[in-house]
Amino acid sequence: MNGEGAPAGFRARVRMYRHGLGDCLLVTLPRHDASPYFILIDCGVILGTANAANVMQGVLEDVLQTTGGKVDLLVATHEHWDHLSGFIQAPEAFARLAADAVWLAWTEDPDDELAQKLTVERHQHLDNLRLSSARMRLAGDEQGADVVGTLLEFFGAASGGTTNDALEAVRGKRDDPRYCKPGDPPMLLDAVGARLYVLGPPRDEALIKKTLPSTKAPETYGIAAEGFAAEVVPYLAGEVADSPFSSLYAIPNQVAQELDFLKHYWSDDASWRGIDDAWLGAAADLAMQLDSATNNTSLVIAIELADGDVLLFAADAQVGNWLSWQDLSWTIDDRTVTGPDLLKRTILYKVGHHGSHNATLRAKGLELMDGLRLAMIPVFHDMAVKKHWGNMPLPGLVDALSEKVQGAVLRSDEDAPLIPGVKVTANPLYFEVEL
Amino acid sequence: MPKPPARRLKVYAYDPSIGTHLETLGINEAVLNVRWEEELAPGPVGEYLEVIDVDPVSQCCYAPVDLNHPHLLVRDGLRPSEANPQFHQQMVYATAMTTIEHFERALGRVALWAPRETQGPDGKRVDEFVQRLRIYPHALRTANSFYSPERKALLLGYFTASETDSDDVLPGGLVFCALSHDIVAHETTHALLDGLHRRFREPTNPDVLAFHEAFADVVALFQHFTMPEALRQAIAATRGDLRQENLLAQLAVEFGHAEGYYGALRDAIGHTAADNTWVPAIPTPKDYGSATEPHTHGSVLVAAVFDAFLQIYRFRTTDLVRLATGGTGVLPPGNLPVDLVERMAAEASKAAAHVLAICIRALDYCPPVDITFGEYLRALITADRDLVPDDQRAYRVAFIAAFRARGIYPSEVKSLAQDSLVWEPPPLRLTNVRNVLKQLNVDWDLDSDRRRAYEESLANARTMHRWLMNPAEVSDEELTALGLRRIAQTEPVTVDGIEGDLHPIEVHSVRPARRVAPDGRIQADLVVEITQTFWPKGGGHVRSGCTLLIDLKRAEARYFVRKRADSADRIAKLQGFALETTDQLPATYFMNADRRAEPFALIHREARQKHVAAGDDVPATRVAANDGSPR
Repeated sequence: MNGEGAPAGFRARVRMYRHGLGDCLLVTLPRHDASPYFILIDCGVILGTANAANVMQGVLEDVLQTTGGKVDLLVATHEHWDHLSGFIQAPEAFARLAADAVWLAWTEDPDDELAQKLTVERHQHLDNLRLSSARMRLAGDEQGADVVGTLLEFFGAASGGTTNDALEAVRGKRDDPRYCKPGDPPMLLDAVGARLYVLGPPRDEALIKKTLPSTKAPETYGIAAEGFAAEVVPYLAGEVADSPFSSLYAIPNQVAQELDFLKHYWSDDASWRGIDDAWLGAAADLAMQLDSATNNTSLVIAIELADGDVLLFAADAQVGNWLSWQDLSWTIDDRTVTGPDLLKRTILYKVGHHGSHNATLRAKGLELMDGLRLAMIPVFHDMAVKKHWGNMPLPGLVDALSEKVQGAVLRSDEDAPLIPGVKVTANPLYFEVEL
Repeated sequence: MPKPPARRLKVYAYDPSIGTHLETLGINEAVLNVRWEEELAPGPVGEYLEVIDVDPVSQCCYAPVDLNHPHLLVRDGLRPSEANPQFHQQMVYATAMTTIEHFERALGRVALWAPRETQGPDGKRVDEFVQRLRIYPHALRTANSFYSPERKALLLGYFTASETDSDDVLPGGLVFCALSHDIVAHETTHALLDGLHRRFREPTNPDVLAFHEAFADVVALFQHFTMPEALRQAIAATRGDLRQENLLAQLAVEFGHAEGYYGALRDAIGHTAADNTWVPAIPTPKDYGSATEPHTHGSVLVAAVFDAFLQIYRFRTTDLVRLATGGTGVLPPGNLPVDLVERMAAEASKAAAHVLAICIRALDYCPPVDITFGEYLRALITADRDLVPDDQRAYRVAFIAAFRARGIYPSEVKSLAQDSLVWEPPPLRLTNVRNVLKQLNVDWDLDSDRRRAYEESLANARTMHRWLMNPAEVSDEELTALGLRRIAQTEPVTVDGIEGDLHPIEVHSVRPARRVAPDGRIQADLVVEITQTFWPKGGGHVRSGCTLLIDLKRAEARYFVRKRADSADRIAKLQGFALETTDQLPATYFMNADRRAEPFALIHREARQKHVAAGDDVPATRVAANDGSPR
């Protein structure tokens, strides 16, 4: 499967940086004249990574050095910190990187009505969730506040730069960014002989909000949002809600904490039964749903090499995004290319969402990938554990992938396995496979 | 001086938001006879419950009511009032205690809450005894109320009625879940059921969560009907005309309003048409199979039990009407004599109490995991036949007919005759069961100290486990016949071609069940629940196991309720269902499930969403409408 006969001696190189929990991928495709065509897909690391600015600086310096300061295509897949942070954490290095083209998902298009609706809704939820997290901390519920807080961190820190800022930095590279839609005709790279297909995100709100394989509960997002709106939002504002009873009966909390009967309620050994934060319960549900729905706005790109083999970059696409590829179809010259067809011809798969359970579909995903030879998972399990995401990556999924590709799974947080017939460059900064 | 048998406490017979009609003004007060608790402290805090009235959103607390205050003792507690939080405390206490008493009477032993699950220093699970269920009457400012398994507490909400709620509610007025008898009884039932069957929270088939909801509805509904005050008005208004007993059904549907299951119960029982006539729902055998959501699915079970109740009520009152009409059975026009109304209300309330007891008693005859409605029917029939072998009043016939009419059939039975529905004994006799019974302490009854009962049941489970693991006591053949495999620790096995890890046998519950039959016989059994879990390589886990009922006197296993997971088909089905229904996001984002998951909060939220989605004329909040109330 190496590219003998091609002028450069290879068909494609895929470099996955090993900088932490986050995505940064550099794809090199040889032109017919052997000069490289570079695609940089995302550049971010999860909030809370030590020395993140230095780390991202190092990654971008390597990109600059490898590409000579210019990529042909810069792709920002979706508005999450672990995919975008580098663009503002290492502003000086990023400023030195030129891009001939910038691609974003249609969900970031300021002129698209549905995109704007989703964005406004998302930002409204985010504001309220930040308030909820603060209220939980106030109520002494550190755990709950952390749960919501860590999910919010996908959207950047409360101060000092958000994902929105990072997205603007990418957008600022060109005055003509392309907002990709799944129906668009694939882009033929003439000088390379490869085609770039856009698979997602789907232009369907319901599919974007569909984050679970379940057929029975497709409206989980809606339920979480409704619960949040009814139970939490009205009481987030600063002042205390009026008690429903006459002040004759009400005892302010400060006084109650000194009363014999009620003292027990606030004691440490009874704290597990406390309800001070119970009314905020819907916040965690919504935070998860919102996070997943944002993952579902991932720009998914399939690179079809000249010989028909496909490299699939799924970003963090979740169930709804995956399902939508089933119905895609393009007519190229006189042949028809469909979504499932591209999956069948996929030889390299950048695993979705750091290997979590709902970012790789089984029946309508992995099982269709008959030609799969390699899987790359950008993940940093120890960091995920610190964030309490113990199943990232999901062991069952890693096993299934491993079985499918006979062990050819590259995890950025582990040593590279030996892969027969594939040249793997491994160093602490990145893995690069050459096909 | 002897203790008084009961403490009389006033409650609202109907949710006050539906009780403000002039017509019903006089009847909205009922008195519950609650077991006398000598040590009842302000709160109220008693042996089983502690009512703690903190209101986090308002950042205040409400002073606890002291039901032992002489002024309250002499006048049956506080008068019903929406404006007095201390009455709210009294009402939740009285209602929840009544539910507990129904459980204890039916099961013949003191009730226990589910223990608190914590981790010991070695990372292993440690269960802690929880003496009291907490009730927070004003926990949330929302139309949601739920039982929190994590906190062992009921969290009740209150909310502002919206303009559209109905003409019965003051727009902008407050509606309190704590003042709804049905909501408090429903949530208390969740807690009691969880104390009995913790694995019924694991959704392994569409019936499991639906059962939790439906059972809580059944208890709330029939506990409500045991209050004659709640029925008298309805019976007077129907003039006892049995062809119009739909008023009871209307009451049931109205109850659905309160529970937020409006659409579901309306479809399952009937509804009031635009011209104010009652249109009963006609059951079809497709009802059970075609309902897919937990609440619509559950409402089929509620409707079946309700149908059985109506038949029983009809059977019990036909003679009264004949007596009152000189044998014609045709009532004259005009109001019914008060005496007749009283007698008929008493019959309805008695029938409700019987149905309630039958439904609760069946819990000791259920499989330990993965319950289906069909199995619940078998449990009902077996339990009732044990107690009342001679079914003169045709209760069991009524149940079977009602379940059959809705397509609820147990799999694996050849006919719906009573004899084939009754559970069978294990295929092989457990020869040495007498030996283990001798080592067990089985005096857990209605007078037991609850902490001791809890500790003894743990000790009994350990003894039972040792016995099962001893080949000299239980032969391999006997164990295999129970569907279990004797292994000392987790080991890799292949079940019907599927690789995975099998965990050792777990003895879940060992509890005595004592009942006094109407004929005075005492039936004493030991209920033993045993499970074993298989973790297939493909993910998830699959539980199998059995419930055994062992006759304590004759030392013989009488019934055997088995759940299998020994075929590839079945394993794939269980795995697939778990994948389809469980929200696995928390599994990705929260290690060790360290988040306070509130499963019942979510189900109730989903139910509400359904109404909105279905375009029902019901607002997103809990409703207190009243389209068919007694007027």
